[in-house]
Amino acid sequence: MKAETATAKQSQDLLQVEELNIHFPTDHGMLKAVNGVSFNVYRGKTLGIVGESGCGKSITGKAIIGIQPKTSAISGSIKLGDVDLVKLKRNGREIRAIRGSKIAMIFQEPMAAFSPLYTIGNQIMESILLHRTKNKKEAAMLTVDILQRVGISNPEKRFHQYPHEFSGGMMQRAMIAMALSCEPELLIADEPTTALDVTIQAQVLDLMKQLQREFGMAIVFITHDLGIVAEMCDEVAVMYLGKIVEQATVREIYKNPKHPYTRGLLRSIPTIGSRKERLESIEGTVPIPINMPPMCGFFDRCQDRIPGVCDKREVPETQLSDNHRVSCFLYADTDNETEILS
Amino acid sequence: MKEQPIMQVRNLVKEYPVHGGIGRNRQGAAVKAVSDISFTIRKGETFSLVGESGCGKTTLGRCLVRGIEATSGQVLYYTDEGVEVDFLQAKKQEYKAIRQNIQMIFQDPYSSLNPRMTVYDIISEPLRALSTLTKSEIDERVVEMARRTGLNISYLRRYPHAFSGGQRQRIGIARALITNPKVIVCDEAVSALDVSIQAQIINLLKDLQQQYQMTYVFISHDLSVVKHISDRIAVMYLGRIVELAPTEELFGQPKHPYSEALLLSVPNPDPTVRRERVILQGEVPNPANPPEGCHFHPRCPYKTALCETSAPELRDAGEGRLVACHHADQLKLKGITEAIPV
Amino acid sequence: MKTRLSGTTSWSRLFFRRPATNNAEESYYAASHWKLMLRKLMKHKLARISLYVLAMMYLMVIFANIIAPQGLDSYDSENLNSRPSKLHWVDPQGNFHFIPFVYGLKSSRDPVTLRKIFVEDKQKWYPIQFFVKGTEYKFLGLIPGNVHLFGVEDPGRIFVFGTDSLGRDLFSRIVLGSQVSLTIPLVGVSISFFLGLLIGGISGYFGGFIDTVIQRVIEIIRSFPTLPLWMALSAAIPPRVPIVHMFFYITIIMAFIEWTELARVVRSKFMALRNEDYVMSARISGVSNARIIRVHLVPGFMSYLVVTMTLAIPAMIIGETAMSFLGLGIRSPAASWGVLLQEAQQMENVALYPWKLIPLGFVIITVLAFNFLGDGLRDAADPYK
Repeated sequence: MKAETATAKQSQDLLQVEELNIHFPTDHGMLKAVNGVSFNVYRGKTLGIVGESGCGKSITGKAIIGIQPKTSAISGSIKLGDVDLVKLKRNGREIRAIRGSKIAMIFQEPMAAFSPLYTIGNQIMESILLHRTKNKKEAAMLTVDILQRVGISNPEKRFHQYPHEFSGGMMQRAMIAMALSCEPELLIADEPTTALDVTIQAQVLDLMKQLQREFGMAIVFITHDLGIVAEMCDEVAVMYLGKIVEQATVREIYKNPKHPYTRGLLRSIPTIGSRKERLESIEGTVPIPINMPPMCGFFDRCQDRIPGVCDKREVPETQLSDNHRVSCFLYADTDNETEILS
Repeated sequence: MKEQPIMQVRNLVKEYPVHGGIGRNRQGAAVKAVSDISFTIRKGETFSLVGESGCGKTTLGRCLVRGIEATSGQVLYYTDEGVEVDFLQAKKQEYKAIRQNIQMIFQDPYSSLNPRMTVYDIISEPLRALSTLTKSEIDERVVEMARRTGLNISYLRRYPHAFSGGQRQRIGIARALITNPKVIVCDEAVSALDVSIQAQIINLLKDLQQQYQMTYVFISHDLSVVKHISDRIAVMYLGRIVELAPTEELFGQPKHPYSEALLLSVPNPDPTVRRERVILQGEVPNPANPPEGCHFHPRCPYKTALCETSAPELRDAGEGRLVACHHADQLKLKGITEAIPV
Repeated sequence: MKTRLSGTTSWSRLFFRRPATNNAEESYYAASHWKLMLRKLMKHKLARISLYVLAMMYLMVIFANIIAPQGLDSYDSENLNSRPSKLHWVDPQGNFHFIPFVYGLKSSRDPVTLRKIFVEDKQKWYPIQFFVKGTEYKFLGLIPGNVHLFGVEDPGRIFVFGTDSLGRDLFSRIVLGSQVSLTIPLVGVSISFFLGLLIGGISGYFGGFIDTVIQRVIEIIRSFPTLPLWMALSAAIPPRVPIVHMFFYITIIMAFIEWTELARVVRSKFMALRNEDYVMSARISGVSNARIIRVHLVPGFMSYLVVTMTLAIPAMIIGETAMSFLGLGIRSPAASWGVLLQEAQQMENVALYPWKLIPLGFVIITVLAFNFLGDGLRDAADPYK
């Protein structure tokens, strides 16, 4: 039975990230921005990566399409089918072929994705010409088609407009159009709605859901907003200080959070659906992950910390159920624990 | 006690000139960032201004503290003795006296602290500028305020670059509070912070409000935070207040279609509760060229012919509410039903 | 270098060693903008090296009279166009001398070209002596003295870089010329700094009509071709003026153009900083306008101004050199690097006496050093990244 579900899952596997490390050498030591991160992305599903600024979520997303900063040292594996993306040459032919056609990315700042010198249509057409067809006429038609599908009204006219003629929400749509123009299997969305107003954010999120149904692509949704995660994602990975501290389905995370950080995070957000006199907050601040000894990164801020255990060694990962894993000594296997205590 | 006014805004207008020609032929178009706004702030309450970018909430907030000079209108301040003074016209001694009572907390904890001044100098600057206290009295106040805002005394000789966003915001709060003001305008004071830090700062603001019986004018685009902290809320759209109501009433049953859309656009962080969503079409129009009639009519799902020609007045809608919609009485708008706290 | 200089004065520790105390972190947190900038500058290798080079250059300026074996007016009609002296450690008898010596020179004619050449007279040799008495001078123009760093006993001669057509020691003239060539830019930049800060500040603070007028004037000044302008201005200088006045005039000519650049930096930074949140915060805190300018605005762009000033110096050095080279600036017998290069105007001189190009090397090294230092400063100007 178990083997069966495993194979069933395997067939749906799109991307497997294993033991990903991204380190930056600094003047003060090695900064471990991403430290042993593993997760799978399944076809047509949405994985949310949540965490606060500096937790490494954004750089993980960038590493998948190979645009992490040059100064970083990367190790581990990111497997798309049989190809290990980590092993590909930076900006080489292979990764460029994958970028756009199989994996696409959208960013917080759509302005950064477009050159101000060319029309929106030309820029979207460029990637279609690169990956889908060599015929210019056909490419132009496909571009107009995709602009229409992301809800840009009057796409023939918009095709010939320059980025500065687009408003923020329209730019975000145009960037999504560019990302989806070659029907990628995986879309990495790095805080795509953070810079937008709520009403526009609602439009864009709605659009992304609808497009996912149409195109059937998988999405890695990187955000700090737990509300968006609840609305958009099937599965959530919570990151803290370069590590995934907990990963589960959305329902599971919200109903049954295990890691003290996840619990703290969920309690500290004000929600408009409920009334709390006082927010519970996580005390302290996020440490800088330079020269950290092997210990739980959340130790200093944790309410349930076990001194002498949590600050002494690397936290093991515990599989609580099929779809829930957590990295915390509170849930570590008893065998291990006695070993530590003795 | 909460009925007593502390500030009253009357017909406040802030226009920005649109640069057309050169030299003297500059008259003509002006963008009305704030157009003819009037409202009263009561003593001890938290009064929130919400709206999307470009609605004029930040400009309004800055006019209240005279960070920028309003084009016309009055900002009346009621002293302890009940004397009514127009802050915008106040000069010299009178200005200094009111200035001490109206302070501001900024959104960006990075750009709002001068990187070349020590924390001590930053916090004590308002006292040195406004009061006649001696050096040792100032020292005493700074140390006291640092303690209250959760800053270590040893931090005082450091420079801002030593601190994270949350700590910087504490410095900004200490600075704003050092003159014992009666009114504090918080301009997106927690928007730039991570969730776990955001909760710390919100709690700190609430505690300080209780200790010092302060009045907050809370400017934010984040409705969850606003819901959590405010007594009354004014919803702004394109430089005007479209609805003003007590928090519970506004969230329970909004009377303006824009308020409804705003509330229902917020992503719901609880996957177990299904909530209605209204997704507004279109985007905020250019404030330099606002639509005729009701500014909101191009996006309003309930608009009639009347809305296109005549601008609705902000009128009394009972229960201490004000609304600017022709059809407020007929519309049955959806609010947010409260979930039972888990 | 680090180890050798450690444990000296605190000043040198600031430059050569990063603080390694236990509370290094605290010292970083409590470090002011300038300290952080210096730290970051010191991490910039080229800038650090440039700083050392420039420090040496300016030490040379200060102690020029002592370092130069000859005075500004000294010449030796016996040794015209003499090549640089060779230093020897081993005498004809094969004995090793710890202190190097030079041979005496005797002139003869080249049998082919019939040109006067110098050959070493192996019979006479003069060991180099340190702190010898020689030409009289006034140290820093005040203290009379006659001690020179090195020299040889009469009638021996030592010409480290050879001599010119009048038999003047080139090395001495380079060292003494540095007093002009390396100080004119500093004084010039100081004047343009003052003008730039004042005029740029007025332009940025008041804005409007005044700003427009000032900006147009700057544009007009900047659109002048510099060389004809210099020529015109230096033509206005009376032909026979004391060297001190000459120096002053040239500085003003240089600063006349340079201040425009600084004024523009001041103006744009002024305008940018005026809209910073912390400036509005100060206004809301009741801080007066004068104090906002003094405490918040001026320190805010000072670091950028220092960068611009540093990068303006090379242009001034080259400007002075060019003017003197063309005979528009300092004139003989006073020396500057440009004056020294005048001799290299004739092709024949360069071909036969290549050492006359040595002053050029000094110009290049100094200009590069200032450029690298400016580069490093530019990177360090925003040290919070």
